[in-house]
Amino acid sequence: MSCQRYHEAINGWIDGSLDIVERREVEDHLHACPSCAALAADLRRVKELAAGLERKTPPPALWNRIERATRASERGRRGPRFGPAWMAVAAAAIVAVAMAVALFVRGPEAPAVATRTDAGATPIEVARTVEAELRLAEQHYENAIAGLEQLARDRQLLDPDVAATLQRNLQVIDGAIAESRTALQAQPGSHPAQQSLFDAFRTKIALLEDTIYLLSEIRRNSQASNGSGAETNGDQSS
Amino acid sequence: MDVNAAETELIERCRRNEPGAFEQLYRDHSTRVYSLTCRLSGSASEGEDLAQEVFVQVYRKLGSFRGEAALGTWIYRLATNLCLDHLRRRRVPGRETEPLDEAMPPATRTRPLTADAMDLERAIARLPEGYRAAFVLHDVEGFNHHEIGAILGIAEGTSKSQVHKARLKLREYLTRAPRKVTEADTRAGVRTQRS
Repeated sequence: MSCQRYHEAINGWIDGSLDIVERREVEDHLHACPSCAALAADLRRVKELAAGLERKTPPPALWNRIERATRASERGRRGPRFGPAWMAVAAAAIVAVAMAVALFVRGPEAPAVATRTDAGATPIEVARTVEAELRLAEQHYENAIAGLEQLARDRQLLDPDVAATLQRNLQVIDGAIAESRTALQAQPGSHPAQQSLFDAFRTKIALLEDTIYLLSEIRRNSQASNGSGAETNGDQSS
Repeated sequence: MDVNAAETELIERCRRNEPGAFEQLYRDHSTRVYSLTCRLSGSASEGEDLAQEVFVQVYRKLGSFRGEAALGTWIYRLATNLCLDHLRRRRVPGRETEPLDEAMPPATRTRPLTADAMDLERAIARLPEGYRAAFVLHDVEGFNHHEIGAILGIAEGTSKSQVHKARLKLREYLTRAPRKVTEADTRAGVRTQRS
């Protein structure tokens, strides 16, 4: 009799999903057929290995990214009308981000940022692809930052103290980016240096995003003041 | 309070936008979602981006969650679909993962299966997408075929069949000599997926 008809049953046998008659039939066959017995042993090993694979722990920075994205999503949902009190909160947020930046760059070896581990990557693979990947990723971040800087250029609208804090901290981040680049030039394969550079890019992007949002709120508020009396429905769009 | 009541209360707290509620939901599900997105995408960095997208979608769509399935099942369905869409989008002609075989005989075993967890992780990344999703959900994440059917939108029997074929493929990758799963295979897999 062909072994083929047992192959799917062997999977059921491994999963314990066969009834007693089917189980007995498969076991009789496994005793008589070394090839199917080897198959069953291998498939069982695959299942055991899979069940033993460890869950991957998300990097701590992931929640921050999600929180920021959901905040942005919430802003879009609420519509454009915010008052001066909200803008004060947004200004405080910029200062808070700035403080986080300061902590980030002041750490002994910038360790507070998430370290990604790619369980599937071997050192050889990493060594061969890291340079190209790094160039691509840098390009991606630089393009994003250039676009954001363009949008965030009207900083004269900001309160002078907030603008000064923002400027100082952008300089600090730029310093961290330059430092990470130097470290990477010295050690092109260094994962911590690469991670540090990307985290500095991400921090700069976050700060610029918050700045742009604050600026857009100031503009909207100013337009609303100019057109006072012309109450609009926040849900309507032109 | 039982699990369902606690889950319902958490969902309501999220819908009311109570401080800390959505973060709690994230803490409850993030490890499983992140593991799933990393394994389905075959990359930690893509897995991180996908996990972010999953939770942003959960945040936006929680209002429409009707509780017909458990919250976890709903979230993993969203995660799996996002991953599969992502894999389809990045696919480059001529660089697809291996096609699904309808009648796949077990490969001849040319060396004993002595793989470790790392070998298996690499081999999983080479699996065709449909097999990979069913295998990861069943053998790694421990969902049953009924749940996988609901997550992937397939029949229970299809889920069983895909897990079976995935195990056969993995055995083939892990035992076929001399073309064992090495850096070359992994690089090919990673390139295909990153394209």
